[in-house]
Amino acid sequence: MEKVKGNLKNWSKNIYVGWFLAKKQVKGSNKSTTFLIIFIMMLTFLNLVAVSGILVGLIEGGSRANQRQYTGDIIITTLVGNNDIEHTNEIENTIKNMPGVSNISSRYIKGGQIEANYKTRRDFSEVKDVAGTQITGISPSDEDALSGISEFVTEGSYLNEGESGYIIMGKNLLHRYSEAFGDVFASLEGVYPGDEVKVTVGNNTKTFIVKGITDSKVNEVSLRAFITKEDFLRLVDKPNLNTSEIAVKFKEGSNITQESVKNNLVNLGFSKDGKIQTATEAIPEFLNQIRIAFGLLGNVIGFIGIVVASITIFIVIFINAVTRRKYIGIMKGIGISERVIEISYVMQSLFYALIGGTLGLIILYGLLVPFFNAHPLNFPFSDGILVAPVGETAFKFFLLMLVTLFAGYIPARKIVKQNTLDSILGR
Amino acid sequence: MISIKNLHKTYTTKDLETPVLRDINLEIKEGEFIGIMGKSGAGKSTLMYQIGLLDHPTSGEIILNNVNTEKLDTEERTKMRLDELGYVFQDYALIPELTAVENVMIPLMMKGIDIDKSRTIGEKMLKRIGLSHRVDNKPSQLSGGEQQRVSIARATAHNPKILFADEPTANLDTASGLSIIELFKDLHKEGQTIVMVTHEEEYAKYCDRIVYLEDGKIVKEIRNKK
Repeated sequence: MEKVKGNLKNWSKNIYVGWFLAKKQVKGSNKSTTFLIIFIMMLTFLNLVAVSGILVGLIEGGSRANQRQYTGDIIITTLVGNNDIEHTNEIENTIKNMPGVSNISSRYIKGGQIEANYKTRRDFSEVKDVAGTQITGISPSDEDALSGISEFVTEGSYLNEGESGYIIMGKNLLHRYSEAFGDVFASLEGVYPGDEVKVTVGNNTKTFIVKGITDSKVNEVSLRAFITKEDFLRLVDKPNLNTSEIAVKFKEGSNITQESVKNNLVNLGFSKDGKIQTATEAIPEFLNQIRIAFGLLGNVIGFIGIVVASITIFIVIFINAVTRRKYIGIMKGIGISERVIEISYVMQSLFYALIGGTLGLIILYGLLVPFFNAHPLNFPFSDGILVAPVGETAFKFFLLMLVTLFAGYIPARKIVKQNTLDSILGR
Repeated sequence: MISIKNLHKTYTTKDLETPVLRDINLEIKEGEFIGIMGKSGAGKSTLMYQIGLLDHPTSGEIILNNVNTEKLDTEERTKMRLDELGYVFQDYALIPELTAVENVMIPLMMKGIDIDKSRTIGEKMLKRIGLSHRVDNKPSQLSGGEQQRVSIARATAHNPKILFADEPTANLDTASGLSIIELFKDLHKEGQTIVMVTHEEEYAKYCDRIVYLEDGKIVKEIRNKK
């Protein structure tokens, strides 16, 4: 016990004297060199968190858009082999009565075709200007409250509740928008708001006036055609009023979770009627795969950053220790223990990393994250943001500290270990 | 207090062995002021480094306060240097980023004395050597004589049993050199054991005993009359 106490006292003394020496050495060092080292550490930290954060953020931006514009917090879709969600009405009523639920939107969906330019088609042997799509019947107000779809109507205007004969078309159904995709899917030439199109579902065909064009990076918004529920039921022969999708949105700040609502619905037996997924589960698989790949890539880049940072600190401390070798020898000569001198160098390197890392944190959360949230990176499939979860960032911060600790210790140890007299005499 | 038996030191390079100290036998008593003299290359400083535990002899024994120092590990030798020895180097060897008082404080802090008390002792030491007005000056702001005084304050602040001085006046003008020697004289009067390497006869006269080295051997010992 006494020995442990003595050791602890010795260690605390060593740390105290080491800290004293480190403080004096940093204070006495060249200001511009100190600034440069801190700047490098700051960039290293940002490289560690921001690069992977942006890569993951490209996918996260896509996922968030998918949730905001399409799935909501929970989405119920048809089970494999079914055309509709069974007991739609009962499910809707149950969800509406759940605390914390803000909006739901029930969508009727059926595959169909849209034909354009048929009035100007003189030669009937010519191929029709037709595009296949999912005809989606919505309640305009419910859908807008859930997904804010009206915000994405970039040409014309959005549907009004109760109106008939109008259609909103996703931009990728139009050739002028989908040229970039090549011939991946058929699209319509020169369709603008006010133009008339024929919509065919099964054996039924109706003409609609194009009211607006939606522009979004979420496929379910930019590749579908939207009509009112009433028009959908007039167009499609349906034996019941069951829908194909029910999207559920929670109130802002609500303390219910996606999992709890899903579990609730599953426990009520609705999983026999439709496929119940949280927004996270409903993220398209390709996005998940890209997220994993980008995460890995971000970690590789971050690892390289950490290696560069540790080499930088190693070189800085090594040069510092080499140029101060004589004084290290003198300190050893007058009885300062090797441990204290090593601690002083480790503390110096930790100082650089701590200040650099803290500046990095301030820039990250004070500047970069808000900036990318306000001005997302424009990618074809998503609006990229900077994802920097606090836990992960804290882990990387401490990782940088740990690596710095070793990078500072090793060169200091190397120099401190040299013969005392040789160091004093500069031999 | 110090007993040196059959001490040899040889520097070995790839193809060459250079004996620097040969069969040194010497006793230094407590409270003695010993001068080590000799021509350049005679081995004076090398002998001091061996006795002062800054280097290891090739063979032989150094018994310091009944402890065979060659049996101590690095940590024990460092602790012995801190607890029992003090050093004054020819080029002062102050830590440049520390002020005068901080240079004096460092060994005290290392001995576990808290920072405030260390500072008080440091200031007292500097006052004693006439540098109370230079307490917070860095070494670069001090003259050579002042730096050497700070070095002496550092070397004696922790009450070492033996004070080693390696040509402490070599870089100083006559007046500064004399004042340093006067300081040693005062310390000696107070009972401090001092081992001083010097090549200046006029300063050696302050020593109780002078040991002359030639080609790494003790060739003569003279006891000064008081």
